[in-house]
Amino acid sequence: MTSTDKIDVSAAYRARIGDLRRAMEEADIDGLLLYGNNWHADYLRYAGDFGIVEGQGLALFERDGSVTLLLDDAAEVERARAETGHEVVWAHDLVGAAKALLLRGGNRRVAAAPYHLVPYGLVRQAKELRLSDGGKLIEQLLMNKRQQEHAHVRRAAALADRGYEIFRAAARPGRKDYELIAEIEQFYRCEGVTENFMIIGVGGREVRGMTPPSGKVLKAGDLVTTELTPCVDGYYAQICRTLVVGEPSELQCNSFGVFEEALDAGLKAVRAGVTAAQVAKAENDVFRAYGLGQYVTSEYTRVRGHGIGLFPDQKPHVLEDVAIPLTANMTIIVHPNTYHPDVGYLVLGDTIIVTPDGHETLSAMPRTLLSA
Amino acid sequence: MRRGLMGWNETDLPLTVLRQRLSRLQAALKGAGLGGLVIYTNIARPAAATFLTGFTPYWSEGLLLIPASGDPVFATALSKRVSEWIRSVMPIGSIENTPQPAAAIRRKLAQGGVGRVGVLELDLLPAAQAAALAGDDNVIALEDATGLFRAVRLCVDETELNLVRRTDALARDCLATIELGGDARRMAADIEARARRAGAEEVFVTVNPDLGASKAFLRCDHLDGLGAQFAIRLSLSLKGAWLRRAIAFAAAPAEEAAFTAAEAAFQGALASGSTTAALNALQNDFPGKITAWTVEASIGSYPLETVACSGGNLTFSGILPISVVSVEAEVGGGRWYGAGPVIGEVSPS
Repeated sequence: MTSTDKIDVSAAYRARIGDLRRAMEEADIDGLLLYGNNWHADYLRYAGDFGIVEGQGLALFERDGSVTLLLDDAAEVERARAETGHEVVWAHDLVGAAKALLLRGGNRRVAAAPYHLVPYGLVRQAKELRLSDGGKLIEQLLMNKRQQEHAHVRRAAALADRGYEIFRAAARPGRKDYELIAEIEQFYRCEGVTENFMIIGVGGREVRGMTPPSGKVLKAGDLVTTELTPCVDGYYAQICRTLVVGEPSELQCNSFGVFEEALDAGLKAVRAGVTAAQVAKAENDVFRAYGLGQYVTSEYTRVRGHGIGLFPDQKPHVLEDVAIPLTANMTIIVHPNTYHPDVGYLVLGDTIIVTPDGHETLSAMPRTLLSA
Repeated sequence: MRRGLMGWNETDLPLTVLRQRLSRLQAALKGAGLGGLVIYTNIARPAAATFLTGFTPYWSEGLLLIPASGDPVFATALSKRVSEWIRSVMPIGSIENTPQPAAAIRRKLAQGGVGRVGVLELDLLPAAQAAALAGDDNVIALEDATGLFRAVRLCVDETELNLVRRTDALARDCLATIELGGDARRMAADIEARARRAGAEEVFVTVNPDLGASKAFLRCDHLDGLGAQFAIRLSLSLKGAWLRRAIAFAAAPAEEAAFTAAEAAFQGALASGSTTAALNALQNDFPGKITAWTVEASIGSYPLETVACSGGNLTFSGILPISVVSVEAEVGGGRWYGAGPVIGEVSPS
């Protein structure tokens, strides 16, 4: 009996573990040890269907589909027992418990991922534990998506739109940046959204990027940028929008026009088979055409989009040196976010599903400079 | 990710206090013959770095090097564009933005001629960071320095006590003003929003919707209605000071009276000023049968971690100036749950 026989689980999880079992068979791997914490919850979630909040965890996924979850936070153990059908163990000594579990399994081949985050206490005994890097086995599965997974991403995208309306309504002169976030989080908890990746920028030309809120007070004329990334059943979708407190100036509108054009160019480039680099180049060429080429470098911007799914910022990263091809059903966000020297940092982006001939946009929010 | 208010100011966390904490740690490092201490940090394990620098990463990861002499170095995979923000919330030390934080720290150690360096929770260090830090030339030896750090960490100053008291006041306020009953999600959402509006850095609200059915505290995605007896657990951070409070509710008058008496006894025990005294008071005076208890504290990289629990599986010897005691009990014929902080005194210098 596998873990999924004991509790009602989503079609997405069934699809994931089916894929994982096939991949393990092909690679002749008996067990897969997956690490997770509240930052990188995706690998653990993929195989364990559990969203870890506090502490750290390891899931040993067997080729027969059964899962043993080791969690070092006692309250998380009780929650995992209620939410999953897995065997769940409180492992105050996470490394010691994982070693014991692996050694109990005997002479088997076990891969671990993400290997770079697996505790050193395990990796330094990799030979004895017959542990190898399982990154390649699962990374592609995380990046590509099954149609069963799209339902969750679509719902997250719809909630990103609704959340942005809450954000927009809250953005009034005199309010503090963290108060806006409080309103969104309240809305999301009511909707059953457990996590939200969100950063914010408030101000004008002095703003070079987005960060957590720092207590800035909104005033008329401020640009307010945000990435809003709600999580539904483990799946994230992101929306990037910029609004002006009050009416936008002509300069703000004109500057934003470059971003509208760049997003449009990036989206037009998307289809299965093109590389992430080609999408990035399409976006960046628009900036170059306006003499803004220096603002698409790492000095001013990180990426021109990225994959999205069980992690809010997964591969492929949309950069001109990333040759990863887009595949049909992949979910990504295209966002030409960067600094504009005339008005400050601007953001605009939507989550999409890559199709054989192009893409499907999941957001219904207008791609314009908004006002509040 | 952290998305509540993050900010540093001299009033809440004076630079002199950070320097005092640093000096205590550096004296311990010199005493142990270590050239420095390396502390790994991310959102799940921010506490040690926050204690020494005021900085909590909102995302990504980093390594903090406390050299035996001199200022700290924080190497992080967060991009250079957020350096200015990091500087605004981390008033001490220098910042290196690099995709390979451990390699940057290793270079610093090599430049300083360090042969032995301590690592907080060495076995839990992510494999890639450990490999890059150690290198393959055996020039720098990594040694676990968890005990060394803990001895310094358990020395509490007035600044930390003040922050914890403020966090607790906020937690009490959030829990005291909730509208009970009805929709569990709405109740949890209102508590979280109240805390965030008051400037909380992070808030986790979980609810046990039916104490008679399960021991689990659930997040909003698994919540809807509430049973006759339920409990709310609030974990809260204000400027890096973490604590939890949990409170149980009963709908029926007789059980409500029993729960109220249990809560009063529990609060009395927490107010006793020391963890040991609190546990003793609960053992002697609690109006119910205690079935399980845990003590959590911030002693390493975790905001709170279990340091002792019933059943003898985990014990702690020493003085915990600040702890969170959680108790599960049978009260009035039903399951009762409570959690709250024990806040002690400034440690002798």
